[in-house]
Amino acid sequence: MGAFDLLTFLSHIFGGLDIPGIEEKAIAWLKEEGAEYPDIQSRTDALEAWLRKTISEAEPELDPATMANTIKGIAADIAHGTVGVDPKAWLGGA
Amino acid sequence: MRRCTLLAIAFALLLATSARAQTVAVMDVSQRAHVTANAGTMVLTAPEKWSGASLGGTVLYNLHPKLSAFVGYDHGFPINDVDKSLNLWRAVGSLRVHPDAFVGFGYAWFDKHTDGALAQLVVTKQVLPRTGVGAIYAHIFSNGTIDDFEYLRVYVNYHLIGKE
Repeated sequence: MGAFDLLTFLSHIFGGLDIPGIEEKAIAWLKEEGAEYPDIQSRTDALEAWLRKTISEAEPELDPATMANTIKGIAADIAHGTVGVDPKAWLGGA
Repeated sequence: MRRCTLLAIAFALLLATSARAQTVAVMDVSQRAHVTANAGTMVLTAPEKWSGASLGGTVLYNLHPKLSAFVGYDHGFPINDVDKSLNLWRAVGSLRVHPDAFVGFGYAWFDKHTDGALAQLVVTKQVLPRTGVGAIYAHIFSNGTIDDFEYLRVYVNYHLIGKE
């Protein structure tokens, strides 16, 4: 999968997040740091930490519970997408 | 035959390309296999304009972030006393074209009498953890004596087995 496909795919995933540019920043960060986190779990954990820090800085008054739930889903989606699987593939099985 | 060969080569190239770029191996069943169950209502424009409730399931394998293949079975319960129950089997290659939409191509068997190639569009949305709702429109290129027909279904899909 080329970089363009990945960006398109991830930008769709990020459609509901109301922080402009966060997806591009996450992808850019992952391009630089992703090699250190080769598997889904370590990549998810690293992305969660990065997103928590970045979103806290951008939206300091965001409800912590809402932010935590949002971050968890986003990080998992990115982690899966960048290691070659579609975490929502099961939705197409119908 | 030539078209099939070209399709097979394209598919092999896709797999090879994705395998090189991926951390999760193409044969990693624990990360890529999914089993779902679904319930809903379905309508066929042929044979005999069948309509009723449906209950079924799929076994799906995710080959690439945008490409999956699945085998599905649906049992149809008629809503009247005239029609018989319906058994539908499908084998489908499914391409994600939007976060909430898939286009699929494959083959469908409706009981013992009707079968044909299938092209389907699935629009779906996850509404709860492991739960999605969706709708299917499919065109069946009938291989039997009846004309081509359409197949529509609205359903709730539950993710039984698989990483999410």
